[in-house]
Amino acid sequence: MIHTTRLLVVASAIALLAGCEGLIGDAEGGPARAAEAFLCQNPNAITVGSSPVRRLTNTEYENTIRDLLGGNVPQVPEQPSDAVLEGSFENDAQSLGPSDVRIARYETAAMTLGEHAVNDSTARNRVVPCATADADCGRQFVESFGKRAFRRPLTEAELSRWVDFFESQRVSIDFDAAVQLTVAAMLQTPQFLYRLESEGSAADANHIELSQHELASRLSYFLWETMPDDALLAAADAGELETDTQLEEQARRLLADRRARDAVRNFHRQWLYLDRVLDEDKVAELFPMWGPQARASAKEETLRFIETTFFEGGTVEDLFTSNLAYVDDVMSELYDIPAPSEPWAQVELDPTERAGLLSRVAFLAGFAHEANGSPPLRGVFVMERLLCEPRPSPPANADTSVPEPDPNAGPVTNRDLFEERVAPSACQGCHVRIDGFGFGFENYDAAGIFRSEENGLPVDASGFANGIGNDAAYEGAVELQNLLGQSEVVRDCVAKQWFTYANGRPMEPADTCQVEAIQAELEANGGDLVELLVSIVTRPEFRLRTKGES
Amino acid sequence: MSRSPFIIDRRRFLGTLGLTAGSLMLPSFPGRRAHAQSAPKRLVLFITPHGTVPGRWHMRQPGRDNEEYDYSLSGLSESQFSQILRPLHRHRDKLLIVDGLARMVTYAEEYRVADLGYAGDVNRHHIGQAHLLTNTWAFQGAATARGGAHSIDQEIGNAVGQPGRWNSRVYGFNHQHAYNYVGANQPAPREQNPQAAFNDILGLAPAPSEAGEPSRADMLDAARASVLDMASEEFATVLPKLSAADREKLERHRTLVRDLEVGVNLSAPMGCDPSFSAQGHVIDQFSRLTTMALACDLTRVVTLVTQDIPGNEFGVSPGIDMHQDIAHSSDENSGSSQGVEGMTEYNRVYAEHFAYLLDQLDSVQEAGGTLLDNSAVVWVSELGTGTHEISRVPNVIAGGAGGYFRPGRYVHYPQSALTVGWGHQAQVGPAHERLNVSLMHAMGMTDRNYFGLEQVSIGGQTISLRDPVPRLT
Repeated sequence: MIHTTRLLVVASAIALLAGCEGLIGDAEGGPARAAEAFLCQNPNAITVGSSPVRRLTNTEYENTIRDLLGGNVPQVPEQPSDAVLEGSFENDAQSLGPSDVRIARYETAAMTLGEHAVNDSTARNRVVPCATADADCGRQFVESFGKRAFRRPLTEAELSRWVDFFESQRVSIDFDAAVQLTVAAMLQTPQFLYRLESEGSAADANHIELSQHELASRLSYFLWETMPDDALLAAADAGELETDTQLEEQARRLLADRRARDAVRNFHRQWLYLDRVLDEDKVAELFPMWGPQARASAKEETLRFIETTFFEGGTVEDLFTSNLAYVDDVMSELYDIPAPSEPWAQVELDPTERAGLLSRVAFLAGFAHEANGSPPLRGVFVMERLLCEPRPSPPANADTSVPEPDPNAGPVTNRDLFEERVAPSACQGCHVRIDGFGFGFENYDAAGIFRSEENGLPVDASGFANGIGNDAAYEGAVELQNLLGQSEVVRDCVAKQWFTYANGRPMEPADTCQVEAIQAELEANGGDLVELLVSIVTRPEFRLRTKGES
Repeated sequence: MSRSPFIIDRRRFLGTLGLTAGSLMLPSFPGRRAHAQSAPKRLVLFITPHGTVPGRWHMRQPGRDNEEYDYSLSGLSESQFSQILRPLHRHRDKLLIVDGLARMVTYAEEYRVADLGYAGDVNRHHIGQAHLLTNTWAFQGAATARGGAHSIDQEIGNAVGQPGRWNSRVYGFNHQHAYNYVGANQPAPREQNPQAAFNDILGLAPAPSEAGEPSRADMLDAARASVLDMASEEFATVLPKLSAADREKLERHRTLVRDLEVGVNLSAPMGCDPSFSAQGHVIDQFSRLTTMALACDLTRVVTLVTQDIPGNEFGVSPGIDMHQDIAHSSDENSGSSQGVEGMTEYNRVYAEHFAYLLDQLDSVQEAGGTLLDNSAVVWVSELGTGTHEISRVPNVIAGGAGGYFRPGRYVHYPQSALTVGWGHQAQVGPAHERLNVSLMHAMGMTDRNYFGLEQVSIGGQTISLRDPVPRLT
């Protein structure tokens, strides 16, 4: 493992040497000074960064509603997107604020869902624990539903307020109306819409240990993107998340559930920009098979590959080296293999042409133009998403148009055109490094189809991987991914991405020792991906929050 | 009993919409007119991408580039209008064509990023979009720049908004990033689907009163306010336990819940008949929706971020990349003919959509003239040109903002030399940021003399961003 600090210093040093800061001027005191803060001074000290209150993301809201109410949940108004911060996750606390549109749509949704809770028999059985339709049953409903909606038992004061509310509606309208309106009201409370962490007890001078119910929610929203299930709530009730062993048992139970697979897919969708391919158009004359079906299948194919790799003992390296795939008809055509016996059957791709997630259509066609691949887009992706390096933007007046061949000159390759474009020294500072990755994907065209010749010329997919720890020259994307799969920079970056996602915020200086410990654990576990998640939740910091000003 | 707006009526209404779709029934509200002495002022921001083609846009008088001047548009024939602005000719008496302002915060951001010494984003699209409505430094995040504070539409909307109504609305698209922000790096909610936008607006339109005993459904509807009240009360118990930043966020949430509670409680019939037709170009759909929302006083501030129109809408083949092949090649000296002509037509088509918006607003009669007369309708762009210039940016203000602006004129500001980023020389006029100050004054916020930054330093010169743009009133 290499230290985070060193990673930053190395990255900025490379940038300085290569002049990649050139467009901005002097970097003294910039990245290097920032890196100082990310120095783990005492690996044994436990410190935690901030734990901002997080609103449920749109995905978490939908999942929580599904698990809270059950039944055939009706359509509710679509919320404004959570995805506001490029390069971060939808669950970033900073982006999870309220807005007028959101509040109004929550209200519409809550009224609809209240109606669903009484009128859908499955939901009603889940929500109303008794059949007498009287005040006593109302109290039982408030207590049991309130606990699941707030993800902890109601306080005495809360119970009393909500029973009063229920009763006033029951008296003025009727029992069902009171259930409907109580559900609608609870779905609009801060206790439901936000993950509040304000209970717990002092762990030391600076930290508070979360309550058992708060811990249960941290666990379930991290691994499932939804509320704790009944078993996890019961464990919290009984104080059975006290020991690391108990917490680990629950984590492994959750990881064995379908919901964990959905959450892992959702993480990778965001981390690897897998939605990008959905918006990609290709020139129809060149790529007649490209269309909505191909776009959707490409994304699904990569997600299935990741999901299976992840949950069947796979490692970081496997993500970059495995040639297993799950294909439908469209994908088999793009991969030039026989159609599968059934949709999404497992196949093995030609390991000399296709191995790892970067030689799959979702990435290759997603980071391409309409007629050809884009080495800079693909190279920047590697640096930003896989090496966790912030990337500088091109200078304001850089020509970022797609290079076109001169129709009067002889045939050239895509690589020739891009090499010519970035030949000026002002471009080279950054592009030596970017294209050192990007040119490695020249064996794949705009739709990710394999090619060894282009315009009658041989494809040159050689490159040099710089700043990955095991820097080396390579030939083609399979070799490049072998290097990335063994790179400690990539492995550390994977851990950092998961840490960011688990905490709903970017890494802070106080997290440095914790992140380094998680990175070391990932190394010790041979890069095992499921074990990475277990190691995050069993860190002592997972149980803590900073003692705030409150 | 009188009833408030709600799902059930909305559904009922939408269910019948199919029968009435096809015509925009512009609202008429005699009741309001009868007792209203003056109609409220409204603001519409109409934003297009990629700037303009200056030589095809401006209508300067020759030889007066170093003068501040204005002249009347009234007597101009259609052919005397510039190629791009020609579709606006029919509205010439209600236009202010504002020529010669420069985007000073954007110039300054390039210096700031250099001074801060970190790898900030100086892509002019990104920072141009971040600055246009915020007048302040961009939020320089990990990968890209976004708005660094709340934008002018929010500032004005919060000042002129009515209880129980939307303070402001954002309709349409992103060009790359958002223009409208509720805070640093927090884009304002934006609706891209006109039908969904209509549903939102209708959510605040009270249904007409009905006589007779309330049904159970009526009672459930009426309880919406109690439900909101119960939910908002819960904030009081959780807020004290939060950090200052979290408390601010949840207090904002509580305020919005209370505002909504006011909204569902409003039951006075407005005599306003909101309807919507999902026909025609999406920009025009939003223009009609905007007109309805303003006419019914459901909001007073709307930002309409136009769709980046595809090539087939301005006469270039679909395979051509708008951004790379047209915009980046549209410099009148060094670009291609395809780029210049394409970009000209691109902007002329936007002018047609803008003229359509003005048609709609001008067709609603209210106290003091038309809805257009009572509004400031401002066409601005992220940048000055397709090649990322940010001086002499194109601006058109339509409407009088209830007598604040003196329309029917072309206004020009003199240019002088300024050293901008990387030692380049630019010719610049007054700060474009002051236009946002003008808008605050136009909307009645006359005690405000700047928005965002008060001044910036560019190439050793201090540039003031204070006070409204001269000559507009």
